[in-house]
Amino acid sequence: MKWPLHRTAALAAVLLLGAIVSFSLPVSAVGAGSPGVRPGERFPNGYFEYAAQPGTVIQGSLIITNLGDGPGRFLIYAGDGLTSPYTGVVYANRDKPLVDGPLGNGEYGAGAWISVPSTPVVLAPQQQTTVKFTVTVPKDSAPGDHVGAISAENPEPTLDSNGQFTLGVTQRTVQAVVVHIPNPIDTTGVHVGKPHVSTENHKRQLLNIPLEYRADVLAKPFMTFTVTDPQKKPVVHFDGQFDTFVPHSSIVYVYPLDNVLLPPANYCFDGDFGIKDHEQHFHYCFDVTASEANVPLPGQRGPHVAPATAFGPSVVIAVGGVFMVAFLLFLLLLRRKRCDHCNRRKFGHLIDVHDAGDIRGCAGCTAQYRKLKKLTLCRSCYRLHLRDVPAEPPPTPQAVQAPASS
Amino acid sequence: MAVMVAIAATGSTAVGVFAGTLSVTVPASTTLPSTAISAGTLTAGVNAANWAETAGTNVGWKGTLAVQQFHIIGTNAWTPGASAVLANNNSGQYIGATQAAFYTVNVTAASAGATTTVAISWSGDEVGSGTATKNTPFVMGVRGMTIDFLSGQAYVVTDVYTARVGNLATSALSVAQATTVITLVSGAGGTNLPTATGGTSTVTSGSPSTYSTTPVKFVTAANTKGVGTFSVTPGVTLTWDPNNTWALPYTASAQYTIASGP
Repeated sequence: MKWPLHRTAALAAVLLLGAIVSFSLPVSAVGAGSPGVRPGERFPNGYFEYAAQPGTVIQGSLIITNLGDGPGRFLIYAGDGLTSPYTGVVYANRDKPLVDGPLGNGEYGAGAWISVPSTPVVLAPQQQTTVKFTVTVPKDSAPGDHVGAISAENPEPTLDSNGQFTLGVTQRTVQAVVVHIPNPIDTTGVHVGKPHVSTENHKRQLLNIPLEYRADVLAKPFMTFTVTDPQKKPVVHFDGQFDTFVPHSSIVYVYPLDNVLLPPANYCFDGDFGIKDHEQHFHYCFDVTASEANVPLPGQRGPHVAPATAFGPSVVIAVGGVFMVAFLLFLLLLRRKRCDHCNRRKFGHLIDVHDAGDIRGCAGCTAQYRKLKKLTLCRSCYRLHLRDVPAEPPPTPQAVQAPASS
Repeated sequence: MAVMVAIAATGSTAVGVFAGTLSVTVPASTTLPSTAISAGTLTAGVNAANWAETAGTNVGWKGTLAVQQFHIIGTNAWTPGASAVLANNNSGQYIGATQAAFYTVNVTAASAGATTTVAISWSGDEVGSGTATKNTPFVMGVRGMTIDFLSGQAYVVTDVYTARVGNLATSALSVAQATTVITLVSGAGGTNLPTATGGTSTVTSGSPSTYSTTPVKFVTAANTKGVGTFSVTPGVTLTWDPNNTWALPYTASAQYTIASGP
């Protein structure tokens, strides 16, 4: 049986798309537990939030549900909330749960105030349990906001080690615990240190800006800064509101210079940093050395997306599939034939005219047929020509021999 | 024992709301697309997972990424070649900073089968010598490497063992916000969808066995958004030194965190 080409192309496209999908699907964790967490009580912002005096002991509860499709063994631990180098509150890992504060020893974080059971929670899929915890606010704790957190973590990574670079993943769910101790003293204190430039992976420069947020309360400060070159020309500019800072946190704000290269020279930094209407101005000049400028120009930092030919089987198949489908479509288009009357290309069989009488109603086709001794029409034109053919002249009556009279 | 004063927070009373349950489920392991070592960098979506706030109260959430250092695992690190067999070919996990470290261990004195020790020297990423006890992993240097000679096995001075190990730089991974893909699994789409963030922030790794000290935010759902379940595939850029990387599998574990907080 002859299989029409256009059907073959359609089947090939379906099979190839199926192959693309199947090869592109990542390896999923089968039978993994996933900790779903929510506070056991109501709070204005969802997470645990307490207004408390020094010396207070607070009790709370956390509801943990295994939302995975397998049994889960979850580690429960308390940790500090801290300010990310990119700003915003993030939560310390169990490797080093108490890191907040200028000295990195947790003196301002609330993580150390939180007591949770140290025994891992083991749950079947969809099983739920309530974990009680205590927040003990030290008697000498300072006024202001203190951020801690309770984490539930599945420490077992999904891992598929079948390639040059493989990334497994573990899951953690965190509920912040914020304690507001009344009467904060400093609500605006900030400081900006002298910036410097560093390189990363020999690929790009980073502008590192030491920031101190000295206030006692959580806030989202504003920052505007401009870096000018020796000719006073602005080369880097930023203007925006940062994400939340934890009180008394110091970070080195990292600003990637993805679109500019600062050559070796002396640059000046002018910035305003602080909460709204309390921004403070800071001015520094700093050098960029030759080694700090030893990165390619922005347009020459290599492919951020590997070329298709270097990709693995899934992408090769995907790209190959697209080309194959395009090629088959091209073949289909080539197989179209042109109708000699309407001059349009049509799929399927066209009709070869063998009888000039079929087209005698069309002067153009008749002339072409006489000239080329062949003519090809699409079905619709052929039908039209047949319909328009003038009626055959009535047959000449034949003489009927009269019967011989008897 | 006297019970200490327990004061419920002002926030835990009438004005409060029950928060939704936050979770990250169905995380996938990812082998990054095969790329020539000479390329030195690669951007791809990795480790799709379902991020959810169910039965939510529209208080928002954020998702962060922390990562361990990409490393060649110590399992089967040693290659005996034609030399006498080891108890096993495993090493302790290399914790040095070299992305493509090489070690050579030479037996420096013959050791009969009945002898319980083997005298060795080593060179490459670290240099030293010592006496290993058979069937006990012998620690070479200070970068985690060990070698385990077999009890009852004889060794001669021509026995040589090599290992190729290494760790990518702690700055190897960065967020590629433009490559992050977020799609709706259940709930409402449109403006309810969480949004990708993080720009090209570096996710500074911890050691081969510990996560970043400060996770990096790469997805966020503001107040009134992010209620439902969403498939999030974070975009990342991995960078390595083409002249200092073995063509061997480097692996790492990432940690996804979904958090409710300020």
